[in-house]
Amino acid sequence: MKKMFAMLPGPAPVRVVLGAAIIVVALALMLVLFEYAGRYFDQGGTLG
Amino acid sequence: MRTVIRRIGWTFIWAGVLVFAFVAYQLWGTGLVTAREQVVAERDIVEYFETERVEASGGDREAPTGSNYGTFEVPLDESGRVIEDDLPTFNFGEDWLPADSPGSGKPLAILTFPSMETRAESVSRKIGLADLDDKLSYVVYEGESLTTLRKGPAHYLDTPLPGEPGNSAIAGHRTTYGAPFGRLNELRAGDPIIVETSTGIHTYVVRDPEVAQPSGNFISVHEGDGWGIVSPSDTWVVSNRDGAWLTLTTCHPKRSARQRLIVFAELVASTPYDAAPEED
Repeated sequence: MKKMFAMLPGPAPVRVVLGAAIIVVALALMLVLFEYAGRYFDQGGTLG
Repeated sequence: MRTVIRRIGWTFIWAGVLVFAFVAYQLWGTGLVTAREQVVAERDIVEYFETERVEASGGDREAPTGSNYGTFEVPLDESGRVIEDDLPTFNFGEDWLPADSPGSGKPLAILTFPSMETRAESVSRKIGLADLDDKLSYVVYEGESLTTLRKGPAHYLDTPLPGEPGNSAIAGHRTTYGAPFGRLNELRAGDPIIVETSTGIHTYVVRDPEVAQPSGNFISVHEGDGWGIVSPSDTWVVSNRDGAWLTLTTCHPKRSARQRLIVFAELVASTPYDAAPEED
């Protein structure tokens, strides 16, 4: 984690903001992936 | 070599974390989404009922506030089945008019399974406080889109509204998003299902699926149960039919979308909402 943080460009405050943004985007992508994959387990019971 | 093995090890660890996060989100995270939506819906549906009832009265009456549900009791025998002879006589009458849909994605009705105890009811019954209000209950939304189904059970847009003639159909999640229909397989023929809408309180009774079957075939029906299994493409289940029916559909088996579990219930009593308070 420390290595990844060090690889981010700019001074420390900028890296913190960038790191937070990357985490938010990664969580959002994960949620979209989970929602998509979840349809194979439960489609809400609709027909047709 | 050591570095490669370490990287492979970390990859497996992160893959495991991802799978655990996925399962946790599906089983519990989605339930939190639905629980939050249901809390909001419980408030919104009371406002919707009140608005509809004032409009139905021509706007010149003051509608009582809240839900009628607490004032209504279902006559049940010792085994929990409906005593149909004790219900008010049911007919739609000559003045019957269909209700307006609230629009897709909006709260439509309150669906209650009086034969199913919630965990809270189970506890309260033990200390002598059992009440119909504590039974398993959900706010039903209009429109069966995936987005709507995240909020709770959803009424199929192309079917009549609950409490109306024809076949009114409602879908719900079996495993995720609070699993509102997770216990549908506990229903037996004769069990009551109650739906409160803006027009009144409608009592349905679960029928033996093979007897109630309008057309088409089941993959399986378990004797004595009030449910059957069909294919996801069996749209005959929700097609319109004579009489007044409520059809509930959900995924089967649990944690799979391979088949559908369905319940047919017939309308046996309808207590219309009377928007007019007693006039002196």
